[in-house]
Amino acid sequence: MLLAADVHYYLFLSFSLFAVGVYGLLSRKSVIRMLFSVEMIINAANINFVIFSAQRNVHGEIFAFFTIGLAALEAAIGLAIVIVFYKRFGEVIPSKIRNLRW
Amino acid sequence: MMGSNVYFWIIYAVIVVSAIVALEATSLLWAAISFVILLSEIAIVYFGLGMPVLGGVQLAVYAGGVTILVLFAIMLVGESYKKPSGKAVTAIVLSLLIVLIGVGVSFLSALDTFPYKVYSTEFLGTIFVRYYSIFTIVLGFIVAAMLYLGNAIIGKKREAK
Repeated sequence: MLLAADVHYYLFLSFSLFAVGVYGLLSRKSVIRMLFSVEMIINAANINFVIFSAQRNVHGEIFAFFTIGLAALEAAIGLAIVIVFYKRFGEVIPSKIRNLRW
Repeated sequence: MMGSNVYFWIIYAVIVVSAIVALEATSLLWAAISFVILLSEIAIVYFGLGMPVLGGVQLAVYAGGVTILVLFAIMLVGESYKKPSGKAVTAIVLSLLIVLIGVGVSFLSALDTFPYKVYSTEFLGTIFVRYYSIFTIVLGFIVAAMLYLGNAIIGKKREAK
C-alpha cells in the first residue's frame, strides 16, 4: 500500500488540518473563507475516520461517506445564504449579520 | 515503510501549505484553486489507503461539486481582501496548542498501528445495506430539513422586500 504510514503521522496530519481550520474560523472576516475553514475541519475529522477504518473495520469508511454528503449540503446552504445577503445588503460581513433573526 | 513515509510527508506538506494558502491568498480565486488542491490531495490519501470509492466520492462531491458552488459564489459576490482581525495572534496560538495537545495525546495513548486492510467494493456495499440503510432515511430527512431552512430564509426575505 502506497501510504501505509504510522497511525500517529495521520493523526498529526488530521490535527494540523483541524488547527488551520480553527485558525481560519477565528481570524478571517470573509464568510467564504470561513466556509473553507469549516470544510477543512470536516475533512480533518474524515481523515480520522478513514485512517482508523483502514486499520480496524469498514464502518469508519461508511461514516466518511455520510460526512461528505452532509458537508456538501452545508456548503450549498451556506453559500445560498451568502448570496441572499449580498443581494440584499451589498456586502457580507459576518459580524454585521443580524438580519436572519425573525 | 520508509518509502511510504516519504510519500506521506510530501502529501502532508502539500495539504498543510494549500490549506494555509486557501486562507491567506489575497485573491479569492487563488484561494479557491488552493482549496481544490487541498481536497484533491485528501482524495489521493484515500486512494493511497486502498479506498478508491471514497476517493472518487471525495473528488466528485468535494473537488467537483462544492468547488463549483464556491466558484459561482465568488463570481456572484466577489470579495475585497480584508486584513485579518486582531484575533489572528490568539487564533495562531490556539491552533498551535491544538496541534501540540493532539499530537501529545496521540503519542501518549500508545495507539498501535495495525496492519492495513483493503476492503472490496462489494464488501463495502454489503455492510452499507446490512447496517446503514436505515440511516439513508434519516439522512433524507436531514436533507429535507436543510433545504426547507434555506428556502424559508430566502422566501422570508423576499416577502419582506
